[in-house]
Amino acid sequence: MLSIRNLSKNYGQQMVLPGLSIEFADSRTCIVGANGSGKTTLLFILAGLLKSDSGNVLWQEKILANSKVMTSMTAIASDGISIPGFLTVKKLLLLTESLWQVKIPEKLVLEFGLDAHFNKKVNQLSAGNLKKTQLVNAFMRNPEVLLLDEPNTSLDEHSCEVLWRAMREYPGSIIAASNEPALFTQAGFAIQDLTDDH
Amino acid sequence: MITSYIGYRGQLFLYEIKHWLSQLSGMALCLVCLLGPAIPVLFYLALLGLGMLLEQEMEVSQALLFMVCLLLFQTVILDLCKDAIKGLRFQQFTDSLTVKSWLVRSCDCFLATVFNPMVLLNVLVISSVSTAYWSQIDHMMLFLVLQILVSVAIFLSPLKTYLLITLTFLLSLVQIAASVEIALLAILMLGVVLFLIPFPKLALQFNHYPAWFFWLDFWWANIRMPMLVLTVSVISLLIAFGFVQQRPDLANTIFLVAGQFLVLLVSGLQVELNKLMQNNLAFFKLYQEVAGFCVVKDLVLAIAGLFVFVLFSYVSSSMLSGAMHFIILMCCFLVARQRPTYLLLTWLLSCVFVVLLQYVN
Repeated sequence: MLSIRNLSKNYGQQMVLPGLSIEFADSRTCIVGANGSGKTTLLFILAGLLKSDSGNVLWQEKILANSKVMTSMTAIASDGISIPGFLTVKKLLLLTESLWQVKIPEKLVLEFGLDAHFNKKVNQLSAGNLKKTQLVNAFMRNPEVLLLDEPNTSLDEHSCEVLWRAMREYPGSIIAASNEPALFTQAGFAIQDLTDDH
Repeated sequence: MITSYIGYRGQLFLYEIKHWLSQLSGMALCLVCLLGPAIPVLFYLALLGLGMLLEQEMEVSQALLFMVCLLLFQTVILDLCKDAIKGLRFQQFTDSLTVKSWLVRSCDCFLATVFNPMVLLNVLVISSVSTAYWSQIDHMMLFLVLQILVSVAIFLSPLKTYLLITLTFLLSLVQIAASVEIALLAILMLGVVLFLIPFPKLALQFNHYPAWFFWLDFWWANIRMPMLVLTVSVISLLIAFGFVQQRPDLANTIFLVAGQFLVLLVSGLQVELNKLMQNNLAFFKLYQEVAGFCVVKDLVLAIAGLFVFVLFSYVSSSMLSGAMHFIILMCCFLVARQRPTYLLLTWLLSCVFVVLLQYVN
């Protein structure tokens, strides 16, 4: 089980995470909160991409001091990570395949209809197809904790259904951030409101 | 419709240049200090080079080498102005005008030729000669045609353009032509043939994309800035060597200026690499490839350091001088990495230090 203790993060004078403590006891958690409440920042810290100013991230009650360990045990899909524009969808997925020794999930790729865009550069993709690329890239890592930042944004109806099914069938934990808690509640996610903790 | 489109592209280009200049004025102090002295000096040197070409003081191979440098400089300038020439900031709107592609390309080529400072400099040099003597400077005319060809070609096929410049460079090494005119005619014919032959489009099918392949792609996609620094560095050093041949008594001072200019350029590259790193940091961290980027950054540092050390040791026949410039470069590099805003100050201080040391000696 993943948890955070007294986690704080400031951007200059602006405090984003004010000593937050959360236990992600459910295998499906949706973080909600007002814009700028630190949802994406929290996901980035959990993914080991950002350092907190103070506090700890814990896995099974053990402090994860090394960000590389956090990066290894999580996978994140977020618009906040700019993928180099020269990469095609295929190259990106093959890079993940090569570096993390995993396989491209052909079923998910076909269901999302992403195979038709395999040779397109990521900077030429529509918002929806870019989101699908990020999602496939995160799902294929098959990590213990999957971090999804606004996963259903920009997706069409069919792709949303594919996403909900993929999340339902995912064996590990999922922590999502969204501004649409009702949808996630329906899908069995526990809601964690960051605004409450502020 | 065609005239309207041409008018639109002209206005768009001028608007972009105005926008560019307004951005420059925002950074006026920084640019005046950093680029202010460098840009006029480079143009002045280019003008001097064209003057030397005009007087046919050089051998064929030297003249060709000089032309390669001028063409490279021109390519760098066009590359910097590419966004304005093609109106890339408003590309979607421009594309929505749905005009024929030949018209779009013609506008690109026209703007690249007419607003090309290097072509204008050559026209200036040619026009300074009385028309009665034009038959004696036909190599300048041919070089002007080559300049225009390269200006146009860089927008149509950059790969073929760089290939043509490389072939010109190789021709300068083998020295097969008896005169500059014959060499230029051969290069022009080569250029025309090169652009008429369609290159096969490579559609590589691969099912494996390892990290080293990614880094190859990454540096190929971001080669613009390192290439700019490398080109300007090589041109500066070649020009410095050219001046030293004419005034050997000023060798130390000339190399000192060239060396300090080099330190500033390479330190600036470090700042650019930092920006590149920041823009892609989350992605690199995600793939645990931050170290891969740092290796390249350190490699640039090591090569530049070694180059400066060897150059100054050779020029001054003293390893002490080489070591001193190596330390200056390292200081500038460290500042560029940790506190980029203090780079200029550090560089200016190092200039004062070097000049004082020169006087003491």
